[in-house]
Parts: sequence; C-alpha cells; structure tokens
Amino acid sequence: MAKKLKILNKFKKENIPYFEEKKRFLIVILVMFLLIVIAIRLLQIAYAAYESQAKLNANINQALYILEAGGMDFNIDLDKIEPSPDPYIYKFSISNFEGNRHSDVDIEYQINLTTTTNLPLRYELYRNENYDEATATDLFENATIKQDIDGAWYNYLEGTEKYLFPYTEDMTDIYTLVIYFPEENKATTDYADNLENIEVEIKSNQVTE
Amino acid sequence: MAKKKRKNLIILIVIVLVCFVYLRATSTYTSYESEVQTTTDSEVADWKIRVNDTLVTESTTQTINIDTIDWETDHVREGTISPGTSGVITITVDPTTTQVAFDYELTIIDHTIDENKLLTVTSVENTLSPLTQEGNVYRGTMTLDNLKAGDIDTIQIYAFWDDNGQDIEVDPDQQQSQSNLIEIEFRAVQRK
Repeated sequence: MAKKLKILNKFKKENIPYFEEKKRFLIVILVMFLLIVIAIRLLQIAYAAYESQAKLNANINQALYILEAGGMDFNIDLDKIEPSPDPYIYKFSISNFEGNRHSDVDIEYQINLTTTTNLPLRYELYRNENYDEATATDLFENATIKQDIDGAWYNYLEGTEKYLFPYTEDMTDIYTLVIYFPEENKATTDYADNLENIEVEIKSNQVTE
Repeated sequence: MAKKKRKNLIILIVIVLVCFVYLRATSTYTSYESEVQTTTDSEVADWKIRVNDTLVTESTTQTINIDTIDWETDHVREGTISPGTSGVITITVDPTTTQVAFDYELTIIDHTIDENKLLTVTSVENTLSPLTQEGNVYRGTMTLDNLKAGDIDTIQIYAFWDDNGQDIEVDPDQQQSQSNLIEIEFRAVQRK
C-alpha cells in the first residue's frame, strides 16, 4: 500500500508541471474570453446612436404647354376643285387649352402657309372675322417663291403678326382660309389632274420676356 | 513553494481584476437601466427633429413634400416651372426639443448627377454655420449651443431648368405635369 502511495505521489510530482501549465493556459483563455465579452458590450453601448432619414419631394409641377389646333384635318377635294368665281372656304381654330388641360405658360404663335405651285391658286387668311367684311384683313403678305433642296418650287406665305395667348385665360382664335381658283382658268386644260399640296404651319413658342 | 504561492496569488489578482471590470461595466449599464425604469422622461435624451415642420423621428425613411418653393412666375403659372426659369427650394431643420447634438446632411440628386432630373442646382446656402460640401452632399452640425439657443437652420437650394439656350420641343400628347425634377434626401445622426 505504501508502495502504491509512493508511486502515486511520484506520478503526481512528475505531472505537476504539466497540470500547472494546463491551468495557466485555461486561465489565460478565460481572461481573454472575458475581455472580449466586455469589449463587445462596451462597443455596443458606445455604437448605439439616434438616426433619422427622410426623403424630400419638391411639390412643384412642370408647366404645361398647350396649343391645340382644331379642324385642321380639312381636306380639299381634288375632284371638286375647279376654276370658280366663288372662293373655297376652310375654317380651323387654335386654342391654349384642351378639355380641362390649360396652358401654364404665355404662348405666342404665328401662322405660315406653304403650297406647291402646280395650280394658279391664291390664298387669304383671316383671323376672328368674316373674310367678306369690308374691314377684314388678310394676314398674308405677298407670297415668296422659294426652291427647296430637291429643286421643287413652292409658295411661302408668312403671317404678318404673332399672336399672344396668356396663360391666365382660355382663348381660341378662329381662322378662315380662303382659296381662290380664278374662273378664267376654265378655258385651259393645263391644270387638269394636277396635284396641289397645302401645308399650314403653326409656329409657337413660350413667351419669356 | 513560495514561487507557487506567488503564481497563485497573481492568478487570483488577475481574476479579481477581470471580475471587477466586468461588474463595473455591467453595473453601469444596470444602473442606467434602473434609472430608465424609474424616471424615463427625464433621463432618455429627446430626439425630435422637424424638417419643414414634419417630425422626423423614425429610423426608417420618411417622405416629406416641400411646399416652400419660390419660382419665377413671369409668363408662367405659379406653382409650375418651365425651361430657362429658376427659383429656390427652402428646407428648414428644426431640432425642437432634441437634447443631443447631431450631424445632418442633404444629398441632392440634380441634372448633373442624373440626366433624368430636370433641375440643376447652382448653390446651397444656410443660416447657421456654413455647410460643408462633398460632391452632391451638404453637411451641417447642430451643436448643444444651437440647441440651447433654439436655433433653426434654414437651407436654401438655388436651382434652375437649364435649357442650354435651346428651344425644347413639346409633344402636347406626351406632356405630364408631374416630372422628375430633383431628388433630395435628408439624414440626421446623433453626435458621439
């Protein structure tokens, strides 16, 4: 028995450095773990802060630019146009609103006419008046003959004035396009089956000054 | 033996110190929590910031409509903008009862950042300490002195619709009154 105890004691003595080293290692690990836990807790306390965000919308709209042309799809019936003592009458309108949509800017506009020169027609344009009134004013000056890049000749009639549509009110201008095909051309067949092209240009822009 | 005792003593001291530090930290947190439980209103710092009179208190992003816009009205209906016109967008940052200093910033996305935006910002001004600019981000600070004085920062963003001197053709059938004008984001963070 005594011998066994001696062996055990000897064994124990021989293994003391091993156990001490183990113990130290465990203590170091424990201390490091505790320090890490503390550090994390302190960081969490330091990191927490109030924060708020918001998205801001500019409550303003883009201005609408409304210039509505009505009745512009009139067609000149080529089978029916012929030299006549009476002119051919076409009406169209221009407005700064369309239904419940209104222009948000002041607009000024001008009307120009471009035609081919195949027929000896004469054009007049009247604004907000009857063409056959004595005081009626034709808006076109004398036609200017021009040639395009393809070599085709055409008449260019430029409106004499620019007209203003203020955004503060809904307005409509009624135009009367009068086309004359002089009767004296009845005697000739030179213009039979000829085509004529008429283009009405409404040139508009926002008023800035 | 003496050496062994010394080692044990060192180990014991280290453990005691660690426990002391840990307990101190946790006890500090605990006592704050205790105070919160007993006198919440007086101890938790207030965080109530108003942007254009709208309270911004949540951590999630809120949406605020800016009505304080002063735009050119010559030949243009009020409340609308057209090419070549300019104006100013005003934003107010009011700390109200906030009790902590905070940094705030405005991130502005205009035509120079996103081509789809119509407006271009020309300058940004404010009434308190000048904002610092980093790209399209403008930063300011509300200090404790500002809070005590009840200061409100009024920020004015000057912008215009740059048409480059060119006419912009409009298709009447494609027009929309609501347009992608500008994008502004606000953020406030407590100072540490």
